[in-house]
Amino acid sequence: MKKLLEIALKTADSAEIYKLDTINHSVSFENSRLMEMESSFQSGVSLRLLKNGRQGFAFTKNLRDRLCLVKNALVSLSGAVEAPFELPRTAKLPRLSTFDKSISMVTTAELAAECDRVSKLLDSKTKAQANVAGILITTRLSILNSSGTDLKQKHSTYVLVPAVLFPGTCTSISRISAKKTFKPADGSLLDFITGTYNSAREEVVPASGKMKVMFMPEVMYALFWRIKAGVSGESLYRKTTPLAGKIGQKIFSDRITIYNDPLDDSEPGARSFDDEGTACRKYPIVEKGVFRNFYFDLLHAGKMKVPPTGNGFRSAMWGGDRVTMKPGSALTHPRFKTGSKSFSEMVESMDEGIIVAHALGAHSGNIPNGDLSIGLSPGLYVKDGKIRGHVKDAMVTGNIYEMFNNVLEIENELHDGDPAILFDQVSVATRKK
Amino acid sequence: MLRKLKSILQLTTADYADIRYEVRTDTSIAYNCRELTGIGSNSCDGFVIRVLNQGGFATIAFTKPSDALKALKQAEVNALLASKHKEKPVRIGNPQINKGQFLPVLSIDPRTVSLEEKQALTLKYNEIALKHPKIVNTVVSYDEVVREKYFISSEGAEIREDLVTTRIGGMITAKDGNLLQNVRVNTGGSTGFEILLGAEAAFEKKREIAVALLSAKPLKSGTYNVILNPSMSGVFTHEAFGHFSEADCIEGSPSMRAKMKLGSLLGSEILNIKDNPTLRGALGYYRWDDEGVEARPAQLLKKGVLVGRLHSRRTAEEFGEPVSGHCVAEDYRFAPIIRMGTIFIEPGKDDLESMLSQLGDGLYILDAKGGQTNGENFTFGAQYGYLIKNGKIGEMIRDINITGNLYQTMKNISAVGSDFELTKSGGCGKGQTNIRSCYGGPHIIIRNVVVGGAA
Repeated sequence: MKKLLEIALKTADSAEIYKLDTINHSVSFENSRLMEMESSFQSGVSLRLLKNGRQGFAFTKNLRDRLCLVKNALVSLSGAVEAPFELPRTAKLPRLSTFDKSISMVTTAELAAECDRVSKLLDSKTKAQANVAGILITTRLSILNSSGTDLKQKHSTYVLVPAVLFPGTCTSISRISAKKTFKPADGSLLDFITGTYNSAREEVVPASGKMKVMFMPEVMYALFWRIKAGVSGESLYRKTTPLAGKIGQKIFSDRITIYNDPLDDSEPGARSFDDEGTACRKYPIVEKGVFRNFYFDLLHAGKMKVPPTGNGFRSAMWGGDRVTMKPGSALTHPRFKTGSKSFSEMVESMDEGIIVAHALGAHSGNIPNGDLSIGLSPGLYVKDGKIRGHVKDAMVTGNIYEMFNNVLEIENELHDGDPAILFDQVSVATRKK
Repeated sequence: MLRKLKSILQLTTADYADIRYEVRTDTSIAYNCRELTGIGSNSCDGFVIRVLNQGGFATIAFTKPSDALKALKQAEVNALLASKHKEKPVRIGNPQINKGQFLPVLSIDPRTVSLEEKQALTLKYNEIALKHPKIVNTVVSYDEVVREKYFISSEGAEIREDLVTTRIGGMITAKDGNLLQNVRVNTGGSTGFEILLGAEAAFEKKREIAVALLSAKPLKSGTYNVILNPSMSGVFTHEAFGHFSEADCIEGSPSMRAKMKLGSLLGSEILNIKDNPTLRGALGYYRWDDEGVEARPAQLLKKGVLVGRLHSRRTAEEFGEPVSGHCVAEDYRFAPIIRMGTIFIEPGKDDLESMLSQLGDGLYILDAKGGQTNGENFTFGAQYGYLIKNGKIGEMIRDINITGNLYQTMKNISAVGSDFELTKSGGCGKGQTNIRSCYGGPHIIIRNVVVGGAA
């Protein structure tokens, strides 16, 4: 990397090299049968050059020819893409616990055995089809720039996705478990899935109308896409956020507090620096309903003449290949402040309503405006404080700026950063008028 | 390259193995309003090995040539492990020992067009999109993806094929007060650079629709009779039916396999659906899939009856049905999975005027805005629509998303138009991305559709 930096600096004012190596092993079981067994060893390098307030970008998966990579970045630089920023000099970051080396010793046989065990457990408790996927991921990330930043971080992640399917469908009750280390599945996780499935086994068709709607943690991403679009520094610069000029104003119910905490290493994926080497920090997005901060990468902070917030990440809505993407404004570690009731207490508090267990089409609709119109995949119907069955062929619709002003309850624990949230007066369209 | 790949495969003792090497070159030029946000061309490459050993199947993708032996051994270990977890051994029947080279005939090869010319065309379309004071944002980009693929198998297949895909398009956003409305616009294909030319009217039309949506009426959620235009009927076909016709989507579920038995009456008798990756000129055109099987048309639904499905070699054997050449990977990073090529409802006999008259009251819904399926259920959004009263097109409406059940909805199709149009830019996000997944068809009428609106 240092040699590449030397070559790059012969033609540019400053330069940044981003290197990522990833090893993945995945196993999936469907209906207690092993269906797929895949591994991958991927690596890649990308290069940003800055010269006269402009930037060039290039990437490759095999760094056979450093000169060729620099040449591609120079062609890109000649396109005059503005870069009103300087690469950061970042050092002395907090040490985070992000890597458990034992994960690299786990064999694919052990991974398959655990998925098989979980599959059989789910099967025995539900008499329904169980699908289970397990993924082991290790990554090594390095960022080197001409300002003197030389950062490295290793990550280990074990993801388990147990699911129980409703007959004749791909809809399921599932919950993702992501850990830094490889451990047998938590019994309470499996009990939650099987208990919820068994309560919701019957299909019901409730009437359309406005009612209480709970979003499970598994579907909070659908709401967060819209929040992220609203509070993004890039959206502010592009004039596509309805929150321009609203810092300090109340936008949500005072029950809602959202902060970004990349330094929280209790979960996998904690980061002390972002994908362009800026130090990460914890800061509020919404406090008791009041909008506090937009978030910025280097480019959009430079354009808006504000300091970057450590939110320059290479990510897209569906993930994407980080080596091939330039950094942009991204909110990668959002957390809600928890409420006071458990999931089951929240269900008991509902006279009638829908729980959105999984969403179909969460990406469609007018995201910048905060609108959502998503299919239930499935929904769970609640009547008199009990789950009575599951709902298909139905949609919930709304706008986050209205929904988050109609919050009834927030769950008292986070699942992968998100709680379940119960909203009042959300439109539900079903087959029954 | 083929010789080098052979030398890697010779190291395996597995019952079957294949290896694919690809060089993917991406050229992109991106504008946000009048600001150039990116420009450049980059190549990446990598390998995918698939191994079948003692009835176990496994795949591995890797980027460094020096990892080849390690990768092959890992794939063999995984395949043996998979064989121990299988109730019955995996088979890949229907061997086709295809050999040859297919380089598409392009009227203007985009690789011969300068970056400056590509940038000028993108800028021109972007300027058209921006030409209204209420347009606050455009995201318009030129995207060219070239996949140079080399494939060999231990059975003796030796294939080289290039796929060249181009597109110019993106999103246009209009704003009035706090209300933001956006529409998508795209032109492109797989026949060469010339397909991108002459799209001025499409950009003008979409700009005006974005502005008009600021005054459009939000749709009230409910159940409606609807006419879908070809873009929407194409997404319906892709999302609602197409994914369910991919054998790997139902393979692991006995209850879904029972529902999707060949010969089952699934839809209205006026409904005929086909997937045809051999349709020259269509975005989805290819010669061989990514396990070396020659692409062929697949009749999926005939007069509402399920008569075929899309397969890989493995699922064709599992189902005891013919291969179809639909096992396609996004690129060098992925094993191939079963994917649609060019899927469509075959044209019927009604013109749009007659269909409006048949509908009476309902909605006319146009231009897709993303969709998703979980098998039996589907949802997809529309960019805009109109209220229909007494067979006449009325007020513009916005915030339209459709959801439904595959079986009920296909039976509720009451008219199929005589027109036919395929998408110029595709896309499917089933596990990986397939930018050449093409769809379209005629206008159709569907009765009793659940439509989610703004309230």
